Amino acid sequence: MDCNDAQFYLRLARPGLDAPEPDVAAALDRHLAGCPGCAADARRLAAFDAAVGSAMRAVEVPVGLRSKLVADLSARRGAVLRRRAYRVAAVAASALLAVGLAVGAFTASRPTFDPDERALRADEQATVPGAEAAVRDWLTDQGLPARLPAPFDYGLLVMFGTEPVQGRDVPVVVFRDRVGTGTAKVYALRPSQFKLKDVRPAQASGWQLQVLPEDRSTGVAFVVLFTGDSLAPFLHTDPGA
Amino acid sequence: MASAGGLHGLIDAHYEALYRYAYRLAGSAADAEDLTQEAFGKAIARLPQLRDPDKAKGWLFRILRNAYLHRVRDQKRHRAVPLDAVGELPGRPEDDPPEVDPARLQQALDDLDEAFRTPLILFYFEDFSYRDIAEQMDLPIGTVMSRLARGKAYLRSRLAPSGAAAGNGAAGGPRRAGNGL
Repeated sequence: MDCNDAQFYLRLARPGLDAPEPDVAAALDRHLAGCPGCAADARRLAAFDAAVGSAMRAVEVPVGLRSKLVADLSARRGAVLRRRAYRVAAVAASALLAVGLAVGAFTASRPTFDPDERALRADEQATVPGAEAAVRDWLTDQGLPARLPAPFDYGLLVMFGTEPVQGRDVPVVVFRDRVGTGTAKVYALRPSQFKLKDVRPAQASGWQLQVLPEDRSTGVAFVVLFTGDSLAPFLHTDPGA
Repeated sequence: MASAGGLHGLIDAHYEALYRYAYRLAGSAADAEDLTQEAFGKAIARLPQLRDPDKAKGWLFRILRNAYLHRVRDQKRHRAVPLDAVGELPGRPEDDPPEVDPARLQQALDDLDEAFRTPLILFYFEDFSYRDIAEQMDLPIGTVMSRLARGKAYLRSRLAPSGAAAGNGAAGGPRRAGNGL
């Protein structure tokens, strides 16, 4: 290393943070050991940097600056938190207002229950939409005639399914009458399961038995067990309906 | 938002260094105080951006410098030494390095362009390597080293005892610059 290189490194190198590579540092040290001029410059540069550095850092920090910063920080945090709280409150108020308006609109739009109107239509029976079609599909699935051999009012349908009868699952369709106190149970009896010729009248009090015409193609007999005097309360009032 | 404890810790750890930096950049206690306050205020808002707490100091210094530059731009202050007036390479150092008066140093810094002043301040704060300074200023490291060399030459001429640098040819450039302000 010559004097030019040594001067270059002397002005750039800083012990610690920006120390030169070890081989450069070693070369510089060797040069300084043999060159009194550069060695003196190294001492002067180091002294100058030390003096300027010391003066650079000699700034008196005002007493109370920390407290001022902390107070300012608290104020800023408070402002931020307040802004956030206002935003949340505004959103909550908007939501509350919207809910209130919705509830008000809903409340205002609800109809008043009219007992007179209900009384006038009390004898109307609600019909289950598609009840007849559902029974028809189910009967078909069971391998039975699709239609019951009497004009039952499917608006009076209670249920359909199978019922265990003397150890056998028997398809049954159940209706109630319009008053809601009478019941008619229509059983589909297959000749393979029961002796149809010997069906006896019901012995139970209040119940009647009626055997409907047999389906000739399948031999299935429909037997109706019902309360009351006749099947009329379970049938369509308008047979054409 | 970070906890108040975390922010207080940030203040405790860095407010003195930040104030000193602000003072050397701005040249007055009032501006330094305002800048320190502004830097911490901005830091609070941007705290989620600070991913590595070990880099908090550099991050705060950078925020402060940006705040300072913003103010300088607003105030349209132009009082710097022209860059061309600052010597490229310093000559032989003085035999007896001067006892540097902090106020005189500040005068010299005030007259220096910010592009030279900032690396000098960071360099003499001793906590910042060339690489750190380059990152602070978004400059190539070679540019930082060059500016430091020229800035130090300028300081040597400005801080030299009267007449001591007169016979030093290489220091003549910076001295002229100082006299020309």
